Amino acid sequence: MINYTEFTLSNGLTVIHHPDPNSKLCVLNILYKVGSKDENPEKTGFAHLFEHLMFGGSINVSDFDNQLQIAGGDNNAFTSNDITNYYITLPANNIETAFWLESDRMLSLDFSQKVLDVQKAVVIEEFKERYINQPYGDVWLKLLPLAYKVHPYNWPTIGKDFSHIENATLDDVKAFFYSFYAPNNAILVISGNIDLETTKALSEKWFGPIQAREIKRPIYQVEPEQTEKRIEHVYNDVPLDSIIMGYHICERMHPDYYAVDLMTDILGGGKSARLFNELLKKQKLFSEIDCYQSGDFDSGLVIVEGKLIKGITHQQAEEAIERVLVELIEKGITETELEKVKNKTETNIRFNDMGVLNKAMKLAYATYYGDIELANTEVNEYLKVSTNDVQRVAKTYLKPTNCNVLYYHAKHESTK
Amino acid sequence: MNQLNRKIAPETQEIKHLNFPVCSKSIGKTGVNIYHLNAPVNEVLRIEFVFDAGIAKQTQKLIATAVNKLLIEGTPTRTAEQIADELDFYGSYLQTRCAVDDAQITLYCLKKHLNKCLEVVLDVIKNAYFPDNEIDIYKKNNKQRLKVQQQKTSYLCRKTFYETLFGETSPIASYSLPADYENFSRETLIGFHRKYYAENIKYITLSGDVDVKVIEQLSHFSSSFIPSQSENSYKNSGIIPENKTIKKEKSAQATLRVGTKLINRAHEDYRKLQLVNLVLGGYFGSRLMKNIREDKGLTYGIYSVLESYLDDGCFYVEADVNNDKTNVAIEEIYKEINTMCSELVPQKELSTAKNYLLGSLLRSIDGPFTIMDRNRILLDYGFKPDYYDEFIEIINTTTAEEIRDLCNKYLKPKNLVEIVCGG
Repeated sequence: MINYTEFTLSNGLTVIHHPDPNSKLCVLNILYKVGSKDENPEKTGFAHLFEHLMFGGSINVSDFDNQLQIAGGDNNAFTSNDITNYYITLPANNIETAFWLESDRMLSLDFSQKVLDVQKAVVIEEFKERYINQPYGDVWLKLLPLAYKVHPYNWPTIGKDFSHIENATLDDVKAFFYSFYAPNNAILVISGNIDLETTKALSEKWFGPIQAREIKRPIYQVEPEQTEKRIEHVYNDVPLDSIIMGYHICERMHPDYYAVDLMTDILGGGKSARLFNELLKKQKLFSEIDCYQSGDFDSGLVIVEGKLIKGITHQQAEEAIERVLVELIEKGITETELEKVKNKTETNIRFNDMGVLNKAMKLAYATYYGDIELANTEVNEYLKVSTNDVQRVAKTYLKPTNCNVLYYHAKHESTK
Repeated sequence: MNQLNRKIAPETQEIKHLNFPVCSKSIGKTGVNIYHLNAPVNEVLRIEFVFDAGIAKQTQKLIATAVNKLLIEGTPTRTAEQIADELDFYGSYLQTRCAVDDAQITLYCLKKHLNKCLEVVLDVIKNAYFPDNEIDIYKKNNKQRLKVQQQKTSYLCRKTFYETLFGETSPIASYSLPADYENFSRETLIGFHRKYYAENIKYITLSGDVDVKVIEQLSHFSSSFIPSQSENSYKNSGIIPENKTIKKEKSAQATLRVGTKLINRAHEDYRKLQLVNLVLGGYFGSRLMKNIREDKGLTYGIYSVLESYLDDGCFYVEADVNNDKTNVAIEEIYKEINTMCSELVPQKELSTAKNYLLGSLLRSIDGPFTIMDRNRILLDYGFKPDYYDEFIEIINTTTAEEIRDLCNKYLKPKNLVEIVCGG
């Protein structure tokens, strides 16, 4: 049980307070409701580049990281398709430093050309390190455009291409900031060894004076239902053939979501899961196999991906996966199987609900989803799922016409 | 209301005391030490079963790791699938880990299921059976995984670095080749298991919702084992490292490591050296990060690291950079080290680094599991319980002169070896 108090400042900033008197730390987590789906398709990777720029100096403080380090604090951030999240952890009695720094960069950045140039170079190196210089690193760059034809999940958060990052200008940066970085587009969570009165006073003092801004969110289209299977072949210098299959699923707040999530655990990569036991252990077609869902707010994907044992063809691999899926659709699951994945989910949630940072992020996400109570009731939603629900969602979402397949071919035999 | 002055930082307080939470100890009937730390949150438990079965103990490549991974792949009464199914049914997780100095099995579970889980874990540790079919799957799949690893510049650079520093026979540099997977038999695995797992255990740790009953359950569990006592010795002083460049065609970037063998945690200079390392490249505000990432944009990240093993240690700087920028990056690394060897770190920078280091110590003891991780360092190195409380004092009193002198003593560029892997 995560107890919390929620209140809103007059400028529209949502504030959530969660006390944990056993901790010696405090966390300031701020979630901005802007992600790569809010980008211009011609200027992708911008939300993530922007995350980097947020550390490059704000209107009154030139050295964000340094000031935080003086207070013994640490911070990081991440960008997803839907949101950008920043978090600071520091010794509890130094929490005001976090309010000072985080509110100043909401007020305004100092928009330096030098910072922009350097961070463009850093992000391009990140692009190479994570997406190019890794075997299979480009899977998402290939799969997303195949799966999404009109919805902006069409590109990954890093962007479609280096050139989009290279072309970013200071004017783009300013426009983006004033369109999305505003108290009325953010969720602030304070957790740890701090009382409610202090949280209220500090929030009002540092964030209260910042004016609300007009949020200019581009309107994007809903992805229409897919009506036939899509296949793409990729040839690359990797050691093993691989197959990646993506099925469209419901959005995060759809009632089917919990059954879909449990379904991926039943299929998944865990050692008692179906794909693992049937295809890796029994049939020995794969050296690795996994199944998971992408965790997006809008309609996301269930992914099945596996590395093929040498000598197995893509067609054999795909047919074998489909046989496992068809069995699930036709015969459903047992009560024991369902109880097993529910128990695992319950353990997972209990282990996750430890530590002030995890709890802060969970509250921020639940609020973003539109129901803060989800932070506590989510487990019940999983427990409500029936065997029929799992079979039904399998039937709904795992049909071949809803599938996007990447045949990833090893172009060269690299090592013996 | 006063006008808010956003240019002035709020006042901050330094960390003067830690009150490090030291774990308690119970001794089982047969003498096995059980360390425990009670923090009753969400009825969760983490239990570590630690064995003297690390890579340092193997006489043939891969054996220690293979035994550790295959422990949970079958006993005479349970197949691999049954083991996984039973543990999953109780919503628990079983992880295996094999390191240089020891190996372990970690159980994550809810307290209400502890007894059921322990029954499976005991069977697995005592009676692991190493079925031929599971060994075949393990060999085949890991050979395939190794092929993927061998495509990564980071992997190749790391491997060459440890081999260059410690020699290919050192457990620290124990990287396998595909052929090594052909060379071990079921009998070798069984022999290793009998010697290092079936009868002896190094110790057990409990953290989370630990009450008297949980301790009793584990005490009972431990009576199936006797305490193991052995030391690992693998220091190899005969190696003279040389710079190496490994060509990896069509890489988008090169990975580089510049480093040397160094004192480990047991040495009295180590805690101060952690501060030296921090200033140089140990955090986002470090000199390397500021210069090479934040000023020049040459990399996504550059870090310096101190690594400690029970019988050896090392220091290195690592980064992924553009292929044509490796020389510039290495020159800048040396430049930063030379500056630290010859000039005093300004007071402001030093106090920032100290505050950050102590803040991260505080962050690393938030929650029962990480507190137990810190306690294990005390246990493994035989440190006094006040080691971390003393840490605060030592860091707070380290001077700029000491930083410079330690840099000269340990990190002189002429002692560092360069490993570059890229296109």
